[in-house]
Amino acid sequence: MNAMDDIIGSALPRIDSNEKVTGSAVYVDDLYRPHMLHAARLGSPYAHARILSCDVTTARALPGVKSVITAADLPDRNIGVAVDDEPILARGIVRYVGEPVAAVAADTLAIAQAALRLIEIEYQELPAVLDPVAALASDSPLVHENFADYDKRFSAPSDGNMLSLMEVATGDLETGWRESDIIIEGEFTTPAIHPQYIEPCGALAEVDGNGKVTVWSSTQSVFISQADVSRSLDLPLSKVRCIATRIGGGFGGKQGANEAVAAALAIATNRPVKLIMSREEDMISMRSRHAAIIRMKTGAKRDGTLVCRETEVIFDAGAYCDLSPFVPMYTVMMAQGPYRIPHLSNTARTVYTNRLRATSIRGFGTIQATFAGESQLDEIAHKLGIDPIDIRIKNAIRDGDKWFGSIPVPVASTVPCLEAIRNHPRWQSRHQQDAVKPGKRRGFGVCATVQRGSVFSASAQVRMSEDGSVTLTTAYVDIGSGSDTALAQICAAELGISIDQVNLVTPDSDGGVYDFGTAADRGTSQVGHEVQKAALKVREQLLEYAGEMLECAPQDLELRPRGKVGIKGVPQPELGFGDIAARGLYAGGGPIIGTHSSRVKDSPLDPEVTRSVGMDNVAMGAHFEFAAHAIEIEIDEATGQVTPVEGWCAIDVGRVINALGADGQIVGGFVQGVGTALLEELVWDDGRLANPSLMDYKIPGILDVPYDIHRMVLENPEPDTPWGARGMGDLCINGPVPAIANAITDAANVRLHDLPMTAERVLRLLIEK
Amino acid sequence: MSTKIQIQLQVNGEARELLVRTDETLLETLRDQFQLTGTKRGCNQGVCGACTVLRDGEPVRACLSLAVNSTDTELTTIEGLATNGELQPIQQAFVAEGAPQCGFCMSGMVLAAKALLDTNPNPTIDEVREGLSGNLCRCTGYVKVVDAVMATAAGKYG
Repeated sequence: MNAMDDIIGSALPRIDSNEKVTGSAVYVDDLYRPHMLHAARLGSPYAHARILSCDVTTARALPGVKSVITAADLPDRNIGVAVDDEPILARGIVRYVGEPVAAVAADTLAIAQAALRLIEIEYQELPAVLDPVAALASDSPLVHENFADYDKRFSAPSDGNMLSLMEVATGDLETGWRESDIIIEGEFTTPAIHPQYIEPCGALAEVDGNGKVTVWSSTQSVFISQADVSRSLDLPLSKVRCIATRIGGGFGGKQGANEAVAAALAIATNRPVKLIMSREEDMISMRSRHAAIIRMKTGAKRDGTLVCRETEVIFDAGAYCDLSPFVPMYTVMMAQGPYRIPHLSNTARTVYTNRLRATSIRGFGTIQATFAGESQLDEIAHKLGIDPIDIRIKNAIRDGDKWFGSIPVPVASTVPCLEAIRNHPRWQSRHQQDAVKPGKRRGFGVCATVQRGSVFSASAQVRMSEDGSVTLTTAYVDIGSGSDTALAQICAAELGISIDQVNLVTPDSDGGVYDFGTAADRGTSQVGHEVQKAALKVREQLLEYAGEMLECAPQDLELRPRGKVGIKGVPQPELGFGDIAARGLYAGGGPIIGTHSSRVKDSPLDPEVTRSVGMDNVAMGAHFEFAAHAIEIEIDEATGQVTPVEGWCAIDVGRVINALGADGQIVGGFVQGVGTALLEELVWDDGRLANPSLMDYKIPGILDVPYDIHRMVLENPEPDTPWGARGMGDLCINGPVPAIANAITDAANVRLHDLPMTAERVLRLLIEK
Repeated sequence: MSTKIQIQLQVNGEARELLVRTDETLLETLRDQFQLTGTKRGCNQGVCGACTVLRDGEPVRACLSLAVNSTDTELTTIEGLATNGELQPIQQAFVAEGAPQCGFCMSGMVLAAKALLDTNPNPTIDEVREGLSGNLCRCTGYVKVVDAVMATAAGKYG
């Protein structure tokens, strides 16, 4: 295959590039259907209240209004990926400010919005649960009084407002503390942040003459969206079709996009209905990253050897579950960082509160614990007088080590990643660079991170047409990561055809395959694996049919570049893929179609080695991923403002599938990480979001981040993925956060424990010092 | 409902006359009246830059501009750049350098880059960064966008 897989690793432009620079890419708000109506939703003004009455008669009477619906018009059904805890329109109780209570479909958006103001709702305010720690108290008001009645689909214990408890313990903490010469203890906090995809969430729904609902959506998972519509409207899955349009960014925040509300209105009016969030609505009512309180204690020997770590995390899940229980699973898995630590105890609780729901945003439960862990490692290095890179190399897990629970780690790249940074010429010369201006301080920070990727189920189908081109169907949604291009490359490489010969099917629940959705770095490695296996079946059929045509055994045949089959060692005759496929259709054994589907392998924790609570029956990921980051920052002594100056990213991707795509993920993740570190926070005024706009919630603009971001891509292949490729989207965001915290300490000898590391927070510490 | 008045303007080289509401934004006119949906609504508040179009060659935010104020002007939207399917050099550069990811900010970003190069054909990296500072992108980290603009200025495309 050597001559045929040169497409792997190439810098091919993404297959959707042209449409994205000409304005022809179709996102959900760009769709218009005949006789289409526009929808708007009314949000709750209270964080927690009982709905006493709801009068929609005036709103319904407004000219141009075609339907006004509330929970009273819907089946008594809930949605939710892990627990069925959420009605699509509040039923009896509202649980966060902005929770949709009613929805309107009208001739124009302006009329729909005007109708919202005519809806009269009487509320009885209830005590709001706004502090996740207080929410755990036995006398706290409950966010969900009847949690026990919900259909719960994960094994972690729940109790009161505690949605999930997950624990692992390995070794013996007491022994660990006894053996430690130095112990560092601290509490860290990270705020809720919004993923801030530039395209707000939206959906368009319509119903056909047989009652089948079709929704086009800005969703990361057509099957989660399909299930939301099916469950909430009491329709069989066979009556619901979900199609993903082009997606304007997701980052974990688009696991469903109000499809069910649009569908309910489409059913009520028998007309297509489009429901698009404004930026403000999206920030108030879609999804955030979990705010977290991380208590961590780490022990080490005098020579820097890590001995012991205890981690306790409390996650604010907000009012509804969404994917919440999968997030602490990663926290508990990854809290030790990429290090050998013999004695560990990791605990994570997710807690219901009366705030916006939280879910698996990019970095997936790892980013919060990594901020704490990599900060404490630097504290230890500083106290012991050890170089921050040396202490990481000293403790790094190595190829073939076991993770806790005896989970094998075939490839562990922390050391090569750190060495790549250390050997980079700009890092070597970092102290001979431009003179620092008066009133400024410069500092450098490093960190090493680990993430785990691939979850649940995936599948792929490859069908060869009679001209030798193939149609590839996966239902995996390219939310901007470049997965469409990478999957097409994997398919093309396996068959030795060009990428132009691969027709990629839009993710569609009617497409004949299943996919869990875009999350957890599962595209290239996990879905790519299915694509490779499906393409392999096409190869087998090609060789079998060609054997019949050439009258020889399939094992004597070979695939040749540009879609040909020939006899090994004999230049001619050759058959084109098209001829073989056409013969299959009309004279041979039928159409050439390869399909493959599987669920990611479980990696159960060995109970003899590691005790655990709530960790079974959850997807644990399949591949460990490793990275190291470094950054130079400048602090303004007068204001406390931190400015990133230069960055270094070393990422082991296993094998590059697309060089442009991999590079784009690395830089994009770095810059998003800078935003998490320095800028971003959802600010609450009691239960109300105080900054629901891009004006008041700042994400990094081009002047907030450096141009000099050095990328070092390592390729130590994974044993069981396509060409050894691993995922990287989540991995790339985690490092910049602790690297910046460590750089601030290097520059000014102050230690930040709270994100974001704003000028105000830095200045306060500078003044205290 | 507000009153409507008639305006006339050139959109991507084509003369158009139409009625617009007095409170109608240029973004609404482009998307809803002309179905030129390449111009994106990201924040509707003038912050993200996804709705950037060129009015008489100058980048403006369509979400903050009233349609009535565009009468007797020439507008270029992202759909107006390529002619007969032939991409302009700046578009070729964005493709080849790998600038687009999710793509939602790209219409505005490409037009802001074009306006920049039209006034400053040989910018420094810092001038490119300054020129694109009104356009937010959440995916790319901006580096490949800058590379695309610099490569265009260097004559690598077209």
